[in-house]
Amino acid sequence: MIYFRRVVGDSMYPAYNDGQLVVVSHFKKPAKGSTVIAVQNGKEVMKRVESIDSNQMVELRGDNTEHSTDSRKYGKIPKRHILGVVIWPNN
Amino acid sequence: MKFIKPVYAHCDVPCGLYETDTMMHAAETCRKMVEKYIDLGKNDDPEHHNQFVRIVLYKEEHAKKCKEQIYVLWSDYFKPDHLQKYPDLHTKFWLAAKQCGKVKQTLSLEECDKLIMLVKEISEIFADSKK
Repeated sequence: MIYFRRVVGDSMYPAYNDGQLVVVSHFKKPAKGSTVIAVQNGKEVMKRVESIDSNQMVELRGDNTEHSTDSRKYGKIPKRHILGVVIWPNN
Repeated sequence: MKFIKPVYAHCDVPCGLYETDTMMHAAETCRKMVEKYIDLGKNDDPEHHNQFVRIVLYKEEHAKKCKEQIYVLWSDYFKPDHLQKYPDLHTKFWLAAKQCGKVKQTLSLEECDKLIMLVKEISEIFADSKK
């Protein structure tokens, strides 16, 4: 299944801009460097996978590190919280 | 299209909440303080000295505030893409930041007016960039 999302915010700048449309795949497996959509605190967030450890815990990071709330703030998240991987644009 | 949901890529501090009213208010306050200094005239009375110091201190604070606001807008809001549309963006911000220093150094209405003009130009660019 694929679906569309619209980016809100600058934390993934310059790879993804505020207001940009992205296509997300539910089937593609997240890997280090993937841009993913994950549920965090009840909201869908878009971040890049920094690492996945042996316990299937994922560290997320915004590309625009100065303006991103990510795993540095809320810690690693379970891999099952990842809803999909951004497949277009594949930046 | 309503079926396209938002996905959040932001920080806890809300992104995109930028404005230029604060820097304009600070620049105009500097001018007001110079006007007050001129109205104050010269006098050796301690009360007069006290008022003089307060005026200069207030001008100093607001010139500093104006400079901070300029730096925040310059570094956090504007992005490399904006330079294509506003090629003199860096020059305008740099001149405005330098002008804050001039306002600090002097008690000149002319220097305050230059700062207000530069802030006005920045405000116009900012407003245009939001369209």
